[in-house]
Amino acid sequence: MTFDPSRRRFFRNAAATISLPFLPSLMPRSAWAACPPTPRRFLAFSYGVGTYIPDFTPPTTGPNWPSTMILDPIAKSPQRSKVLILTGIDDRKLGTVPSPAGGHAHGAAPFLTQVPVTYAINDTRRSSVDQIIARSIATCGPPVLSLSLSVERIRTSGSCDGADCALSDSMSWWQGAAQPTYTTAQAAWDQLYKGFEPGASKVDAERRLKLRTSVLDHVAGELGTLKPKMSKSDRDKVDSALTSVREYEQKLQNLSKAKLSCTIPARPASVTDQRMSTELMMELIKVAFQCDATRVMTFRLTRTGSNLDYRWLLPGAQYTLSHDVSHHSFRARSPDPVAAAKLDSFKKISQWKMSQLAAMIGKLDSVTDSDGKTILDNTVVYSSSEIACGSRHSHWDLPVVMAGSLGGKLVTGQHISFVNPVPVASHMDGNPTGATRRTIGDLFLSVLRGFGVTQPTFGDTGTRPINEIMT
Amino acid sequence: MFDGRGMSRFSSWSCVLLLASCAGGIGAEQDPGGMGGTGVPGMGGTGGTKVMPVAVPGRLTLRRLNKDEYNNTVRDLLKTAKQPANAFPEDQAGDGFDTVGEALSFSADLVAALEVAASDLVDELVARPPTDPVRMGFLPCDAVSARNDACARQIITGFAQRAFRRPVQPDEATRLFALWNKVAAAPEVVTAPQPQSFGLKAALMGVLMAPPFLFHLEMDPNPNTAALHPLTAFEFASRLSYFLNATMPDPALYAEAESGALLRDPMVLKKRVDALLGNLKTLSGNFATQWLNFDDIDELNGILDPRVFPMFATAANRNAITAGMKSETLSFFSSLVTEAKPVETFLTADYTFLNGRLATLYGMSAPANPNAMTRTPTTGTPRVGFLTQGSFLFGTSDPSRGNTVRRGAFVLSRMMCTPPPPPPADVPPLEAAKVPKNATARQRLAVHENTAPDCRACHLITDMDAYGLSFENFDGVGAYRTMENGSPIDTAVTLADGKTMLNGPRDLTTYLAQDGRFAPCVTRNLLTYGLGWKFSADEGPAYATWLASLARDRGNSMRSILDVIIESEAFRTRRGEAP
Repeated sequence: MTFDPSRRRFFRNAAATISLPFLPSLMPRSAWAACPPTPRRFLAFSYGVGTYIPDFTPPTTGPNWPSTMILDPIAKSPQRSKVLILTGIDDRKLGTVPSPAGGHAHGAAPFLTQVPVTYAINDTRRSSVDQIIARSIATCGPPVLSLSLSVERIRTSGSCDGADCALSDSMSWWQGAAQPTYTTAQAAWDQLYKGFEPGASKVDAERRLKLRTSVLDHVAGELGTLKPKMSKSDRDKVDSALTSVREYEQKLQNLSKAKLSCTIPARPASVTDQRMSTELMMELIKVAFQCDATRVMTFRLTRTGSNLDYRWLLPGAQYTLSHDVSHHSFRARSPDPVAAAKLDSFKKISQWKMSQLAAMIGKLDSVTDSDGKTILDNTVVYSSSEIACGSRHSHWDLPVVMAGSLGGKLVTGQHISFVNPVPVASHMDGNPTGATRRTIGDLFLSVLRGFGVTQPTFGDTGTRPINEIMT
Repeated sequence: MFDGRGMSRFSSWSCVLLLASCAGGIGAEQDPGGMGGTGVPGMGGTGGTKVMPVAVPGRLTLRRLNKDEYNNTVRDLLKTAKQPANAFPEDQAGDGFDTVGEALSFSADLVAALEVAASDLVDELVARPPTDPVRMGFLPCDAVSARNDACARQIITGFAQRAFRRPVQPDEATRLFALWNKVAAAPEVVTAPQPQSFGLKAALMGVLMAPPFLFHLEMDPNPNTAALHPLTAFEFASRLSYFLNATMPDPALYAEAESGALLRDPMVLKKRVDALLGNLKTLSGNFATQWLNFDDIDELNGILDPRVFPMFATAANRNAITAGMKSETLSFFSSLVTEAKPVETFLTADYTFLNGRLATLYGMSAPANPNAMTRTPTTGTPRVGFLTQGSFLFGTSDPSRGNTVRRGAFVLSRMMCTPPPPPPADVPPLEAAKVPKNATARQRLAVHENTAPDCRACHLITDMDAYGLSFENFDGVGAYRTMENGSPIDTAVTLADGKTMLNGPRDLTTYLAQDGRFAPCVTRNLLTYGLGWKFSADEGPAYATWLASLARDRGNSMRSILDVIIESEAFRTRRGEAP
């Protein structure tokens, strides 16, 4: 789809031009930043089973960080100067929490929340950074607060690495409630663009809207009536439903005012192939940002602990299953041919994942935003995995790649290491050292500052923002 | 699933830590005598002379209808063929089941989908012809062509009572009536040809989005105290109906709740349970599929290596065979609920259900009608009980071969409720030099345990390897074989006790049937599914063991376990929560 800024137009129909009655706001607006003149956006880009740190981490820091085998697609991309590589940043505090779950679930549950897998699934502290950002800009215009996509289907029963599957497979949480994940580009498109009534006359649309808002108000009232009669846990559940009703009301209100800065893209085709689905979803993310249909998205390129078969990428290789080859074992890096073959496959798969990240970043940089910069410039992309090293399930030196400066709020074009020298081989032997290490929670505090959201702590690990990455 | 698929890679440096948890975990869950008794007598007819060893532990968190329950409920309420919940966001599971309140989440997207569903369902109801019985049942009078308050109240009360699965409270009805009038009198609406029709739609949508419809709403008279209190008859009827049929109470059950007979008269309850179990589609389709990890079958189906398993080369064949495997196990599960056999027959049965495709895969003669799942004896064949069915043998496999360790882990976790801890990280692959060319699984495991001797903790002390090796005569898709990589297969194992020697599935399942862990495990899974009870947080396992011991005295069948659960204090009470 081509984007022509001169042809921006309202896509909404009659229903869109009706002004809604003022609904109780989601949260006190004063606690949040004022709406920026140009949209600010967040994209989390996640993939499963970690990477191979020795061939991921650039050995030196600074703007001229040398390329590595796995980061090569990023290093060689035109967006290199808009990328930030961080080393010496951990889930380490979480790694010390005793857990009945395995390493993947242990890293997936806190991925965007920094709340350990061991906390109750409905613990109201379980809120993810994307959802905090989305709610801070809830009244700024985009009708869809946020959207989570996953190329692989999410699991809805059984045990996922010893934990409840929601903790393993849901990235976005708000106060203990898992937010939906859409596993086809079609379903995601429906969330972004469906639900308008192109054929309806204005008067019909007004009536229908009156009916909908009245019903929702009624439902909110009924939930409110229940609350005082319930115990704490049940009240939390009712509160979560109430919040959801209010947020949906807010969405309707936003829809009535929203203007998309593009025409609605065509509904994507239905595909099952991993690569085609990946391409459709990444295109959908770009267009959703371009259209200002939403400003916050999360994307799972591959699932927590993903065991997809990469036969197509590794012709002739004996070992092609993603999780299987991630367990190449450091201890057996001696000349064992099985370990060597698995490691070779794992490195190539890891490099392919970075080529997809580079493609995503490139897409966001290919579109001009309303202020003349690119979409990427006004966005921050956060990319990592639920573990650092596939083989050791380590929660330190996570493979953090960021891109976009969030409208100049964040540093780019660097490799910054919080440990000196760069801990290239930190996963091969022993455990991490260094008091200067930082946490993902600290990183999220910095990102939140970039959105104008000031909070003192983040999850169980964030205590102070990282000055080195803030302009 | 990946957690199991990593199972074969154990490292020595972390296995040391696992030794204690492997040994301790089993002892703790196996031994009901270890639980301190409170001496509280059982309620509801399960008592006899036995004394409950633990009080009902934990409490249930408010849970919403899941997608299946929503679809079934609107089907029975409105006789609709729509399945609106298919368009809802995915449900979340807790402890492996999609009925656990802690996990089932709300979101703005769900509210949006619920609103669309409610709107569509009401439109469909109103569009039914005037003589349609469903329409006449819910819209018995005309409140639309002109304002008619008495009729509006009648419609609201009747619809809400049915949808809420209990009598509607006067204040609830009043607020719904106010919603009707507010919408009908709104300036935007009052100019419409039939403003009252907007009021009607709003009120009916209000019912379909109200908490008593969307939630399994059970009220605590004293929400801030943890004392147990009995459910109301309507709450009990709903629990019963959603447990056994995943839907709202039917009119007969509702009437028995209304009259009080359901709680008062054990014979009424028994007959009602008989009737509800006349339809086993939801109990097998919802409970058994989750208990037995059917998700893994679909997962593997997508990545199976067609070079190794040519029968599965085309998607059409793959889907047909795996559908047959599921159907086999679900028919088998249902037969055990219906027939008064010991629950351990699930492991030891000498029959299964086959269609032509499965018979071919299993090397057995096809039934007369190859398209129908047909009950078939397995006496004299290598097959015995669930653990030689394709759904287990296939569902635990790697893309190119069966996974011995994962089979053992499945038996431990799903059949015995004593799961091994998740595998540690950085386990070296088997060193190629030490593995004989074309080694069998047994030889590979032996190399593994010799190279990493301290890994024996979980592999050997839990008998995980021994259980897994018992099934080596079945390949990755469940076909029978006697050779692996050119060597004859040896399934003889000695368990960790050093005494028990087993050879193959018949020995193993006979052993497991006597081991004492299976019936409590089935009970525990049924309690989690049926009540939405997240066991991990409390002392549920001991309670499940206690219920299983009661069921043993009553025939020890799957049905007696269901009966004991339904009669249990846990099923008939709830509690608030001390702040």
